Amino acid sequence: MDTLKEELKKQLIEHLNLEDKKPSDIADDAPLFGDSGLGLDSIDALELIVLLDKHYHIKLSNPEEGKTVFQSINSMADYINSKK
Amino acid sequence: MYYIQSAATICHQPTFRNNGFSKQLTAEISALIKPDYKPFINPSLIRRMSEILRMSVTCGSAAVQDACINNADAIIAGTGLGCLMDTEKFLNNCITIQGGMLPPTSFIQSTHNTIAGQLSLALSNHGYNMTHTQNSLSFEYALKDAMLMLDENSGNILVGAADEYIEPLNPVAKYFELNQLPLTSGVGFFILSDKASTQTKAILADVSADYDSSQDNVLNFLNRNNISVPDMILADGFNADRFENVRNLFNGTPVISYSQYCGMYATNSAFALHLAMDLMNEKTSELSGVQIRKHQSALIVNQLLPGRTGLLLIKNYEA
Amino acid sequence: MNVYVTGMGIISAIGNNVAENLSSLQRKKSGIRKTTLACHTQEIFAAPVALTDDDLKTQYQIRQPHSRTSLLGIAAATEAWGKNTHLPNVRTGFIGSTSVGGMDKTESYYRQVLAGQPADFSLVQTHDSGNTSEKIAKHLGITGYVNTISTACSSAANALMLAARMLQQGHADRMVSGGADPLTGFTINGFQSLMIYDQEWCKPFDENRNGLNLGEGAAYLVLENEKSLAETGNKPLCLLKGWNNAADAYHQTASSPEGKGATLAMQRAIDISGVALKDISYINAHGTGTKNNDLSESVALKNIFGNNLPPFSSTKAFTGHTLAAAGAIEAVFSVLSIIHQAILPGLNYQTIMSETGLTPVTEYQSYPVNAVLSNSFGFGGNNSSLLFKKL
Repeated sequence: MDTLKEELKKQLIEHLNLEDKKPSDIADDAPLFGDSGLGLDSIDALELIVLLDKHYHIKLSNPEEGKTVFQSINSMADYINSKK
Repeated sequence: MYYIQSAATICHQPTFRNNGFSKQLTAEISALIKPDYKPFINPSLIRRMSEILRMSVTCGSAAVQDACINNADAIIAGTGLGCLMDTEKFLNNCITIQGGMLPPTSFIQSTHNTIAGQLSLALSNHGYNMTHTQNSLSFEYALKDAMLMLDENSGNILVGAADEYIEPLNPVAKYFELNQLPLTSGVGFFILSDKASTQTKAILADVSADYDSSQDNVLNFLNRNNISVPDMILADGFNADRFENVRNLFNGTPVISYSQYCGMYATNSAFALHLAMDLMNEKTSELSGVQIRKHQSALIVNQLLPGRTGLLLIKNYEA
Repeated sequence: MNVYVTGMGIISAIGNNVAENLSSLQRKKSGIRKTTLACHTQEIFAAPVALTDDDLKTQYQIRQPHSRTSLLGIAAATEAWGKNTHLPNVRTGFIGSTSVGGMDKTESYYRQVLAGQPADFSLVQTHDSGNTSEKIAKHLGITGYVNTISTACSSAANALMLAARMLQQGHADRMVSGGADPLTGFTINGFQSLMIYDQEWCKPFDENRNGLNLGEGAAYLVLENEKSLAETGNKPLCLLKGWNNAADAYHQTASSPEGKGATLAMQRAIDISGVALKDISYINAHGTGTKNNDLSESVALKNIFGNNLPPFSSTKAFTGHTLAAAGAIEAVFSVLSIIHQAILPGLNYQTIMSETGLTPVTEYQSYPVNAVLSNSFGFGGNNSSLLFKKL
């Protein structure tokens, strides 16, 4: 589980060009969206859907679903595990 | 009269926030000279931006700052080929990713108006936001729109041009024999105002852009501005015959070929405008062996592509 | 100085000319269908123009390489130009618009390049957007001022606005202005990647709307000042009376929830026109059918009109979203609304939007039309409104 979370953080940084961030800057339970967290927006949400498809072969066809899945690294990891 | 209050250019010469760059131009075209973008672009916006967007937001923001105004009343951009890096990236993905999902960011940023749009976001600007794309005349048409806007209402217009080089342009340029000069990137933004101030750097007396490459076109343009011979001429210099025709117009007037300094991109007359301003303001007396004695007026002749002519008349401003 | 509309031309999925488009609107016949296009691998709901490139080339006697964009443009611009001739005292210019230029042909070129095959460079020759306008202007014999606007989905509205401003300021006497865009794999994939491409019929202003369907087409208006009218003898159809463009400056793709840019564009266009709110009879909305646009636009409409919103609809359920061409196609529809004193229907509407409670027009009906407001909103928060008025 922890390896998955570490992997996700690296993928997030690479895929979203978070140039000035390191994996250790992203807490497992920190909100990914909104100003209080990583500050991602709706375009990033779409990029995360592509990331899930590319690396985990999970297709999220309804962008609305992303709102719960992409709350944090924890929620993303839970979702990926639930689909295995 | 239209007054140029500031100018900011990023290209393959040391132009950015460097008054007197006309004395430091190098004959060999170097790599793109990038300033530190961080002071100009919000970190949350910069991470997605391609080079042309970084250059554009930096130049646009610097032009607003250097004109000592809070914001512009409108943003007008010209671009010949638009945001090529993102366009190529998305097109490449469309063709090569079979059955998978495509990352949307490069599609979003592929549209020509991403340049002016990103500037509106960076400057929180709700004014008129326009993008002209008419290949080698895109910058001239953007300027004409800005002048029209100043005729309608008083204000400060952020107007400029941007084009970027990508590797896949090479075979196309080679095939159409447009590769005699290095293909390059360049962005220039200016604040154009209907009122002079202590910031005024030059006067933009007139601009013309049309599908006419006759010598009469140039002469008529000067006539309507009551100028018989400009103090200097900056011509694109891309095509030897067309350059020779410009030289023959006025015997003895110094003619500078500007593309040899900035390279080949569709809107490189924006570089010429900044260069003309610098030559005049710094009273630069010589450039690549061309002697410049008077610094009151400059004519820019853009005939980068055959059959099309862009003309800019710039006058020195002395308060 | 007044800006008169004296000619119009259109080609879209609901017809190859003005008469056919009007007939489809009257009969509520949509051009959107489930189809497999050469440029895209999946079966999708889209609104292609019936004529192929070869049909168009034959009809307009064209031999040189042309993008589909300029072929569609030539068809519509030729109809708009009609019996106009070139006159020495009438300064005539052309302002086209397109979002992707010759991308339809560039796709074929780049497929060859990426496959390592010998590339046909004539395909990429028409890539730049300016080429589209050059080809169309050349077909009409217009030289001098030839320009192209590219601001995504608001492009043609902006082209028309610039033409009107030039006429009003005396920089030209007669302008042909509008826009063209073809269906391309690039744009279809693009809107799919944004997850706003409806896999069914688009449903503008419906509670259960789920995105847009793309279409293709072109449309142009001929605009003239009084001096030109005296020389050409053309009969005005109506006036282009108000225009504006404003930046939303909110987000790269999403419209602001309070519809700031849209509200500014509409308000300033109405102010410039001098037309009173109560005299605006119909609104041809941008209404793409995406959740975000239709909500934001509805909020903006309420900001302007409060509880006195005139009848409104989106005709994109007929033509599909034709991107850069949309503003011109809908300008033609706005002029038709004035000429025929009728308001135009939307399609596929069933359920009222819970947030706003607004109901679009669903039937073609006779109606006293004094003025029409036409909205076009693009990516990057590029918002434009045009106001057409009865003579």
